[in-house]
Amino acid sequence: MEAAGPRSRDARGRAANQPGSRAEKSPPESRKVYMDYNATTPLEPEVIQAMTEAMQEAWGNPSSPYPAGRKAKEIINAARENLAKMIGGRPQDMIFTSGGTESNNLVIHSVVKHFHKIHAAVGDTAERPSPVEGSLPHIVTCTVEHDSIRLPLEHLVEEQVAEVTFVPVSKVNGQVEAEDILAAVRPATCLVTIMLANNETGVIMPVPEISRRVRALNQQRAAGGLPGVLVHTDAAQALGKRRVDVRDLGVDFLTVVGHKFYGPRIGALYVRGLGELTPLYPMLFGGGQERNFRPGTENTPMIAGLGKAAELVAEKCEAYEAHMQAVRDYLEERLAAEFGERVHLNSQFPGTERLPNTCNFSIQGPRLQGRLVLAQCRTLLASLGAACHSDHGDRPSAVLLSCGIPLDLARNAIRLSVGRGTTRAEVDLVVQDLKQAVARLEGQA
Amino acid sequence: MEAAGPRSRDARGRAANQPGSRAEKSPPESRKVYMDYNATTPLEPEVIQAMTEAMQEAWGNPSSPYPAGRKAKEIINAARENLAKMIGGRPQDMIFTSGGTESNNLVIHSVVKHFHKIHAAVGDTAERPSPVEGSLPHIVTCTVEHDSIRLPLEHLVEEQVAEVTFVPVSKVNGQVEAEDILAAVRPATCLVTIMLANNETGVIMQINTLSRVFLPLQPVPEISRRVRALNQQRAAGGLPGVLVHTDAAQALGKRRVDVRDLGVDFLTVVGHKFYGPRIGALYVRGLGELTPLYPMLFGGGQERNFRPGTENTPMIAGLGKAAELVAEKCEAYEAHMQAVRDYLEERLAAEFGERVHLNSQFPGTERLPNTCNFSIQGPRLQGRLVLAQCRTLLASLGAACHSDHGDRPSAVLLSCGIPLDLARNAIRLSVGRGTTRAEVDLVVQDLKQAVARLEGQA
Repeated sequence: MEAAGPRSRDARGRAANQPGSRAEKSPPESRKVYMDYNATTPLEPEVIQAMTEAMQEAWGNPSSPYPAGRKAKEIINAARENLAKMIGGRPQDMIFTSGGTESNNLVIHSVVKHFHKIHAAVGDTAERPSPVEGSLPHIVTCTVEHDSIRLPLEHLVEEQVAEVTFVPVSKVNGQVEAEDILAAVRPATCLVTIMLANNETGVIMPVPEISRRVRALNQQRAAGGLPGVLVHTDAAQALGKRRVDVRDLGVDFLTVVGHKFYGPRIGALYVRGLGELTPLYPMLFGGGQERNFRPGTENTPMIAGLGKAAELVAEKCEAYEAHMQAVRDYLEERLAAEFGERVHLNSQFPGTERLPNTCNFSIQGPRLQGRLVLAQCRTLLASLGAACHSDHGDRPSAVLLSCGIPLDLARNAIRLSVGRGTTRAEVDLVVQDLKQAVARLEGQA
Repeated sequence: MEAAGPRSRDARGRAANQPGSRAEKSPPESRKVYMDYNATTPLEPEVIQAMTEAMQEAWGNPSSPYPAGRKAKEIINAARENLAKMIGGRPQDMIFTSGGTESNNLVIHSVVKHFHKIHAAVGDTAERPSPVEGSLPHIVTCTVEHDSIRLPLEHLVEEQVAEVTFVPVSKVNGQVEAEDILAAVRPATCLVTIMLANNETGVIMQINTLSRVFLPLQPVPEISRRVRALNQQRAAGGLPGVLVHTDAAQALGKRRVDVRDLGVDFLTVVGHKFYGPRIGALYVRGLGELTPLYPMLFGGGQERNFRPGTENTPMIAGLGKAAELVAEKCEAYEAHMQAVRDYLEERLAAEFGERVHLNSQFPGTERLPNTCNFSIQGPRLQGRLVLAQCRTLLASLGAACHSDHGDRPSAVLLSCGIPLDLARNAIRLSVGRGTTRAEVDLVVQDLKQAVARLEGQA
């Protein structure tokens, strides 16, 4: 059965982000409720509109000097402004990429290249041998990052091109501690990369504090002839759900991922003072686009869509956040009411901020592995963790285990992530669905 | 004024690839005629349709097991089949990328990584030192490649990570000679990369041997065959094989492209040159079995880890549809473009006589059916100036990504032996699937008035 899913558009195509605006067309049993917005989001109607218009009217090569090309260039410039505005950055500090994976890989690639350039330059001066002579570049991160950070770092370690410290998150609050990050920094450290919000638990990481402390440390390092440590945050899960401002975060790089905030499947990378303060070494070489930082004929429709999605976030993020939080809190109330002591809310850590839309929970019981429960659901569409791990079978989420969730609970974990249009009525349907799923599983002898 | 340009859709949105199907809505003077299809093409209506449907109905994460994700996965699989069919390859040998730039960079990255792996593996065995011990990997290419081949190679040279030989094209036929390519191969050579068709001159680094059997066999298929023969000898001598790549960006959708005939190990696909979207693909012969591919990106496992990142379903749907159209209609496209381009060249000759030089016509050389690179002789007729005086024609001097190169004549043309004065005056016209003879007439008149204005100025 087709997903009734996102409420951003009902069967008549009406833009509908308000509860109740969707006519109930199908009987409850065949109705699907999508609660996997952290995996991906639908496109807002305005985003589809912007993309379709660009496809039809701005198809010229943006490097071409005649009107069809100029129109495309204007759209790209406007989108860049909107991206920048969404995160409190300057347009000239934004480059477009093919997505979060590329943006994250690009940051890691760049800092390693930069380390070699700096190291080589200093080391060549007989009078001033490099303080990190003979060292590999070192990167500090945490144990719950997305694969597009974790795997390129692991690859660098395998290839013996860099060293990496994966700082464990606290089992008390699910966050990485700024103290532990700073303690891991060494002379040869060139980058600290910490996600802004975790996709599985929703936990918000203390990025502003980490940035502040790295900045202070950098002053000392400069005095001692050591290169500064750069700070990156993968903001994929936070954008569109809570306010994200690079001035408050204090980061040098920030990854933007369109398909998490009702935008298309491309991304962007913010680089503080791109080309002036913060170097960026491109991975790709070609026709000069994006000031040679990311060449390739620009994907105007995608960029138009990303810009529109960013515009909507800049305008409405507070409202989105308020709505998601209200619905998610209601969801957790209903889960508690339905399952009582049996339910454990894995994403609630005392004193820790978390995304407004995410509820990671486990219902205790030997037959209630998350995968089995979801398989018995007839309405709910959700996941156990990251979508790209959907083929991990029965293995409990490494992220949850890292956060100190006991194995039995981790096995039973289900991640629900609500969206801009999720309603309380849908929450009720989901809770009933979970109830029948549990009953069926436990009814089986 | 908006480009009247592509005839794939008229003002009423009717799909219209046939001449005459567009109502003449604007007076001739404000009418624009787009003849820059080598720079980029509009999206076919069916492509827009496929993309819009995917945006609305297949937005789920393709890695998710429920129906919204499955639907997206099906679309991706179908698109992959269509891509493969377009080039005579197997679906499992196709990976989707963000475009031609990425595909080209990925090939170069991969062969260098592979060289180091092979070299290191062999070199570590005390009994059998590597025959290329201490050598950098070496790549052979030609002097008229697109920036997305040339610049990554130049970068490797700057960084002293690889050595590259840029084999000059012949000043007689504008092609690179297979002989010269093979002569440049050394023990440490790991890749030969030669574009299938040049974007500025339209020259094909290939001849359809079925129709021209009496002429010597020419580049890409010949290069592949000879490299394959060489590889057998190299294997006997303990040397790694040389892989062959072709950037097929300009050829796809304009003439038949079949990897079995080309004999290549890698082939780059670029959507926005065949009325598809701005993404691409990379064909890898026997991906993961015969031909290794070392990814540039690491992440969530998509594309079998060769190119991770949540798949851009609408873009992939569009690319698949564009490929389907090419597989079905390429011959018709080719015939139409060739007829219109040949008519254009007739009219240019009729209008400008001896003054016009057709830069893309090299004796005995096959060229793209849609490209006409020409110069009108005269001291005041630099290509840039002529185009600036045109009121109807939208065209370029060469590669779109070089549109900011001012008065510098095209390096590609100079490489092909076009004299400096002519190269300065060069204009590249590239017609499309819907370009009409009537539009050709308008363009020739436009060029005539542009030249007259430039020469009327004292």
